[in-house]
Amino acid sequence: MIGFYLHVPFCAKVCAYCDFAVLAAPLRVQRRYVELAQREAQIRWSRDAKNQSIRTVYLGGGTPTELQATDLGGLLDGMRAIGLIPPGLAEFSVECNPENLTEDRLATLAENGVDRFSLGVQTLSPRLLEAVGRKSDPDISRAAVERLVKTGSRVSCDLMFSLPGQSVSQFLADLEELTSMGVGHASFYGLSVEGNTLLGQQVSRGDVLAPDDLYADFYRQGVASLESKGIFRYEVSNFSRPGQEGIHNRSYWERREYLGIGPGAHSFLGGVRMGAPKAFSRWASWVEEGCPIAGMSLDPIGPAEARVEAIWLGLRQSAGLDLLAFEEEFSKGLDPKRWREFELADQVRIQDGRLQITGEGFCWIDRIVQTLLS
Amino acid sequence: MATPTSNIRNFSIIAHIDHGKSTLADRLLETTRTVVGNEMMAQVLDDMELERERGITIKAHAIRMMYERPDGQYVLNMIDTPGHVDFTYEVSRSLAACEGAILVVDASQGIEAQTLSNLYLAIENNLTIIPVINKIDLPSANPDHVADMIGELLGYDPASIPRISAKAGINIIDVLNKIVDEIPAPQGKLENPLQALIFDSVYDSYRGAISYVRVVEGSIRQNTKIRMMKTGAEYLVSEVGTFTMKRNVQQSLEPGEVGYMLANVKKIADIKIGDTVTSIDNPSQTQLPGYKDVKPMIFSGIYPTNPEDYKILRDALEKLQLNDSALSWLPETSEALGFGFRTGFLGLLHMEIVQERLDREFNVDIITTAPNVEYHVFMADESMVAIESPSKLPDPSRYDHIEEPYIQAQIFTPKEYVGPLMKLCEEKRGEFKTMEYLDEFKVILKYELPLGEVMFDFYDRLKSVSRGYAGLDYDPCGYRKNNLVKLDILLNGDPVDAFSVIIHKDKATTYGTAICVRLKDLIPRQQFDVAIQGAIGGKIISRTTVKAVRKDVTAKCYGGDISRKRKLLEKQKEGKKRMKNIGSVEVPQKAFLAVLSLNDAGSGGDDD
Ligand SMILES: Nc1nc2c(ncn2[C@@H]2O[C@H](COP(=O)(O)OP(=O)(O)OP(=O)(O)O)[C@@H](O)[C@H]2O)c(=O)[nH]1
Ligand code: SF4
Ligand SMILES: [Mg+2]
Repeated sequence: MIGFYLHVPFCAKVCAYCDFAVLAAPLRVQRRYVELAQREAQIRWSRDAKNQSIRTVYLGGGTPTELQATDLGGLLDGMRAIGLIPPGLAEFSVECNPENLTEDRLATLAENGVDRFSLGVQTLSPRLLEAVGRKSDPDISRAAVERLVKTGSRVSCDLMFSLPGQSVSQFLADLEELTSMGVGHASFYGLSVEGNTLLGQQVSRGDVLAPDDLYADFYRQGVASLESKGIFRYEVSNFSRPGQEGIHNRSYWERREYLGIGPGAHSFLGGVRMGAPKAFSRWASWVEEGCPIAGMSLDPIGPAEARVEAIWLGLRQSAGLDLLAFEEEFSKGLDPKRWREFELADQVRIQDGRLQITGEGFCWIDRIVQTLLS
Repeated sequence: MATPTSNIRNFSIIAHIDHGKSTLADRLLETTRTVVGNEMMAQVLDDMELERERGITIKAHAIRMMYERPDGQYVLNMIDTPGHVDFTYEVSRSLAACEGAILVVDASQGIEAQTLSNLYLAIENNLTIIPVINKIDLPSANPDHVADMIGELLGYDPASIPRISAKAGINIIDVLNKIVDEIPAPQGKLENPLQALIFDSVYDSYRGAISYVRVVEGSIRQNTKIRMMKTGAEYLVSEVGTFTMKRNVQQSLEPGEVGYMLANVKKIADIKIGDTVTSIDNPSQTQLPGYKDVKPMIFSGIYPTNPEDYKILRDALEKLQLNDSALSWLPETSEALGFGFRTGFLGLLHMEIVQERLDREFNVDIITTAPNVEYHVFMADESMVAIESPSKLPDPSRYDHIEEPYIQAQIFTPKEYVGPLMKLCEEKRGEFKTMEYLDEFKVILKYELPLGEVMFDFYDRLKSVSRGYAGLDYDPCGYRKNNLVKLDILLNGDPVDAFSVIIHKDKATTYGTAICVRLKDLIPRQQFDVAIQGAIGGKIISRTTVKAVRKDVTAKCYGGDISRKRKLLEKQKEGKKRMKNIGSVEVPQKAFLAVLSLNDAGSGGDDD
């Protein structure tokens, strides 16, 4: 059983902080994408994934709902036809932007069995949305949340904090409002300014100030606010009511295999992590050449790599790292000396044979992982 | 089928840095077909990774060539030498294995600092010198003028100096013919007792220590029982040979020949560069002159990042010393860094190269402390203590005064830069001696300067104020008493011995401020504030603070791109290896060398 990730590389406008494989493209290009994605899936589903069975589907981007309803339908029909969207999925998630969640698109998604929506809200402050160059309107977000909750599907909201000029109370108010509307899952992360983005350039020119001094406060208080509503952290930046955890995303942290289709999409198959070309044009010609393996970035996961992943991905989850299973897999356990200092500082604990990050420790996870790795 | 001694020529190529030695070597190798086809690349002898990266020669490289001409076949043993002043010792070692030297002079730059110093070395070694004017293809070339200058210097007919372009391959045959015609054949006799000079050596992880030898008298072959005359070590030779682009096993090495020798050497210290190899069965009574011991100019501490690696570091230093006899070291301990070695170098570039080689060739993680010179401390009872490390300076109440080493610097410069260069020398506490005209364009400025001042950015500043045209050569010229003090650096109140420096009192405050500002940039933010203070004799003279970080978390997980983040983690892990815990503060390797990058320091000072 593997996961299936389908990447739709389009957005109405590229946000200032975005460093995903996305572009704002005309309909013509979107249709070409639908064709090429179908071709890639056909080739790689049988060749790389050996027609294993699919457990979860995640339609992400970019913004899948940027496609016209008919194109979206065509894309999903094509995938279903070759077996990539089988009946009886454990989960079928779609990322969408409030702006283009129209009735026809919603209907198409519902017909295809989508049962989880991940809505890119980011913030409910119009000023902050503008500051990060995001084309959005908070009222439309509110309406979209309401509409989705009404369908009875599981709904998650993506939020951001540590935005230029954002205050902690603003962020908490966003969380408060969304949870009161019946959202059962949220993920939030601090803005990270990447050099190759518009925002990155603005920051390095000094046009925008993006201090991260309040980062820990945002995070700490955000977690507390959600948990007080019964929405618990199950991963560094993912929170849900018990039983509503994202199954597909969780499979990444559990180091399960998955097939990724689309520009820049990553796969983990046969013990090898592989990535397709990221730029649309390079991806397109790669697909036209028959998706040669040599055209992908390949990262074979041997024991050394697997060990790093097991520690890092394990600790990201609240459930933590199963020490016994770890010792079995790598025939050498973790040395308790390595986490002693963090245990004394109440940043990790051992519970039921699992090494877990606790409380304040989540603010220092990179340092903890680093120390365990060395 | 040994070549008769009369058909052997042994020579080095010497010159100022970048005048084209290695490029000329390329052409000679090509013309003699020693290197053919796709083996050829620019500066083919510069085979060390660092040499290729930096585009300079660091090690002398020996190679054997066969040259046919109507009157017979000749064996030419060539040694390409480095031009940088830090590696002069490589040149002098090479010259002792030769009868001749090709002195390359750049046709547009003319005579430069190391043209002269290397020429004098060749003269001291009684070598036949063949001057060559290179880079005649350059539009700025002025070969006639340069020929006149060299002619005057050497008493050599300017008209008969080959004018070549090593790059374009012009007039290379002239050089080959002059080598055969002018350089004398070696003198030794086969029947004499063996005398062979070890002029270089290298550690090979498969074959152990390999000695490079020049046979002067007698012969050496497989199974010769040998004795090293200085160290007294005795071994059985397991293989001898010559080097072209690879090693070629030979029956024997005979008088005048240059090659390598393998023996099952147990103790690396048995091999000493400059030693004479003789045979036990028919021993020579006398040793070859060998080499003068080199005196290091600067010292720095080298410590393993992981204390457990002390022995590995010691091994690596021993092996590296085989190939770099100018390197010297003694064990030392530091409160901050633990057990390590006080290491002596010929200059800053030499120090940098040693660090790099330890890292790349021996894979040891090291922390290096800021370099310093050797001070002479005169105690209250008038006895003198030489200290190679500032942390060893006794309490001020116990000594009367400190003396520091001086050098006599010869600065070669086009005359228009004399003003700025003099200003630079004054700033570095230099004392003007003389100014001589080399010709109508070029001047030699002589200054006496404290070595401690020259050691750091002097050379870079000299280059920048003269737009790259000035060159520098120097010789030690004794010690002088000065008003010197020890500046300590404190991290969160605790002095860190590895950061201490000895400095002139007048410069201490400026320096102390600059170093604190620089360290603030170099020490990463920790989970708590870190105060950095400069202090002289307990009195704080400067202060900065590294503010605490409040988080260290990557919340975003890049979709399914697990590889990217994992590789980032692995890279950070490498970076972490280069950190040293001083008390509870994590200090990166580059912080210990902060003084070397003081010029990059940002503005600002006290921030609280
Ligand atoms: N135009 C021109 N450039 C040359 C000539 N010979 C060498 N060069 C260039 O000068 C530079 C230095 O040449 P090298 O042969 O590395 O000089 P070197 O004397 O061996 O330098 P070090 O070993 O570092 O002292 C290189 O960029 C060469 O390409 C020449 O005849 N003409
Ligand atoms: S919506 Fe998301 S994927 Fe699209 S541009 Fe903005 S940040 Fe990037
Ligand atoms: Mg060279």
